[in-house]
Amino acid sequence: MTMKNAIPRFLTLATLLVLASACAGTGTGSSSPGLPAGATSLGAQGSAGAAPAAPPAAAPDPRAAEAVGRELPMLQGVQGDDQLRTLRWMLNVSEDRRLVGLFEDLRGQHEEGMDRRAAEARQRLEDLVTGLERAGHRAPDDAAGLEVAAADPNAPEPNWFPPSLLEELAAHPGDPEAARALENARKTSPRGTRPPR
Amino acid sequence: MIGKSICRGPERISILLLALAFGLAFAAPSGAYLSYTLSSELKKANCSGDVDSDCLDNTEENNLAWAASPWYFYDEDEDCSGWRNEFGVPSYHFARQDFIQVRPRGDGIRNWSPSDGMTHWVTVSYFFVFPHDCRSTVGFGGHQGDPEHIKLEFYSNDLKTWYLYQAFYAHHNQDHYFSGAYLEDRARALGTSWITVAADEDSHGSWPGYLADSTHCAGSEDEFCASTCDCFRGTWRSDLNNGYAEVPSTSRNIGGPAPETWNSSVVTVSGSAAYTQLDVGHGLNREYWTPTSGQFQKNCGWECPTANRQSDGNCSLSIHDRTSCSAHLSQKLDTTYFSLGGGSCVGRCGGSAGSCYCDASCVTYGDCCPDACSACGAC
Repeated sequence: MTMKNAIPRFLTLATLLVLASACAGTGTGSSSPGLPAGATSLGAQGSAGAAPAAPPAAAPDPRAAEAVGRELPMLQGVQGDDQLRTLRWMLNVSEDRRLVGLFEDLRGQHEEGMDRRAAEARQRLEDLVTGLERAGHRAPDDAAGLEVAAADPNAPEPNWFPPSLLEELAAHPGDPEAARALENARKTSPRGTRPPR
Repeated sequence: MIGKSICRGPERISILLLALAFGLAFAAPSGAYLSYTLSSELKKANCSGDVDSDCLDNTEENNLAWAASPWYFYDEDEDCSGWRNEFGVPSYHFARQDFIQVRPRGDGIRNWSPSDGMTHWVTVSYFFVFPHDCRSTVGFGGHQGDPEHIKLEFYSNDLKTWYLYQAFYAHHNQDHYFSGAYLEDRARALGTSWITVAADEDSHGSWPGYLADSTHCAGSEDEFCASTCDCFRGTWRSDLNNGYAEVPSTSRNIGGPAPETWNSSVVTVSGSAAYTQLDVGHGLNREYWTPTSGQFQKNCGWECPTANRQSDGNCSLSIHDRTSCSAHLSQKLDTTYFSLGGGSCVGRCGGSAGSCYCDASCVTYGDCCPDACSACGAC
C-alpha cells in the first residue's frame, strides 16, 4: 500500500468520524435522522397504520415486456419488472453513444451520424420505460444517478486471486505484463492461503 | 448534551487521534481501475436468474458485458467488415458477429455473497467473429472465417461494482495481457470510461490502442506506412470524437462449456455438441463451438456450405477468393475451471481446483483440496 493511496481513504474516514461525532446527540431527539423537524419517515407512517391499504394491483400487461424483448434481444425472456430496472440503469450511462449498440438496426446504420443514432437510442429506451410503467410494471429506482462506468483512481485492490488465474498467467512466461501480474497475485495469494471468507 | 461536550477540549483531540489510528489501520490498498456498477448483484441468493448453470444472474451477466463493452474501431483502409468490403457485396457478407461468455472463477460460487469479505472474480469474453479475413500479403494470407476475441478479468467485493483487473487481447496467434491500471490510464487519457479494441486492417487482430493522439494501436502488423496509418482513420481520439467507434452487441450470450451449460436461445445444442447457424450470404451454414473433428474441425465463418466442407476442415468452394478456413471457435472459449460447491481434484491432478490445489506441493503448503489424496495421490 502506498501512502498516496492510503491518504485519501484516511482523510475520508477521519472526516466522517469527526462529523459523525460532532452530529451525535445534537438533534432534537428525533429517531429519524435526516428528516426535518416534524416530519416522519414513510416507514413510520406505515407502521402507524394511518395510510389506507392499497387496492391489489392488476397483473401487468405482458405485451409491454414482450415489446422490450423484441427491441432489445438481451432482455428477451426477462421479467418486466427486471426489464424496467435494467432500462432505467442503462439510461444512467454518461455517454449516449453507448446506447446505440443495444439496437441492431441502429448499430448497422453507418451512414447516419453517430450523435443522431445515440439520441434515437435514448428516446427508444425512454419509450420502453414508459411502456413498462404504463403496463403496471414496478421496480425500485435505486439505480437512479448511479454511475454505470467510471475510471476509479482509488479502487480497492483484490484481497484474493484464484489459483486458476495464477496458472493462466504462469502459462505466458514471455509476456512481461503477465509476469508482473503473476508476481502481484502471488504476493496477495501465496500458496498455503485460503480465500478470506 | 453529549454532542456538544465531545466537540471541545481534549476529547476532540482524542477523537481525531482515534480516527487517524482507525484510518491507518483499516485503509485498504487501492489502485486505479475502470469500474462498472450493475443495477443489482451479479450473483443473487439461491442463484436466482441463472440460466446457464453458473449461479450468476443472466440479466446481470449481459448487463456487465454491455456496461464494459469496448469501443470498437476499424482501420482507415478496412475493406473486410460490415462497414465496408472490397467485393461490393451487401454488408451482411462481412459483418462482424458478436457473442459473449461470462464465467465465474474459483469455487463455492453458490455461497458468494456481497458481505462475505472475499474478492470474487468473473471473466467476460467478447467474441468478434468475422466471416472472412481479407488479408493479402503479396497475394498470400486471408481465409474464410476469422474468429477474434478478448477476455476481460473483473473482480468485485460487493458483486455489484466490478473492477477491470486486466484484459487479454488476442491477435494473430499472439496474446498479450494489459493491466487494468494501464487500460484505465489510456481510457482516461482519451476522456472515456471504456477500453478500446482497434482492429487491424482486413484481418481484425484486437489491439488496445496506444496513445490518444496517434494512429498506433500498440501493434506492428499494420505499420505498412511508417506508423502514419495504423489502426485508426485519424487518431484514436479524433475517431472517438467523430463517432467512428462502435459498441459491440452483447445480446448473444452463449453460456459455455461444462460446468456451464449452453444458452439454447443463442446456440443450437445437439447432444454434447453446440453450434451456431447463420446466413452470411451463402445459405444457412453452421460453425461449432464445441471441439469437432473432420469437416468441422476449422471455422469457415458460416461461408462454406456443409456439402463443401472437406475432411481437413477447409472448403472446396472458393468464397471471396479464399478456400482455406481458420482456427476453431472452441480454441477461443473460456474453459476455466469453476465449481458451485467445493473444489474437486477429479480430472485436475497436478493443477488447482477452485481455491485449492491437486499437486504434490499442496501437502507442503497445506492447501490441498479435500480429495487431493484420493483423486491424485497427493497425501
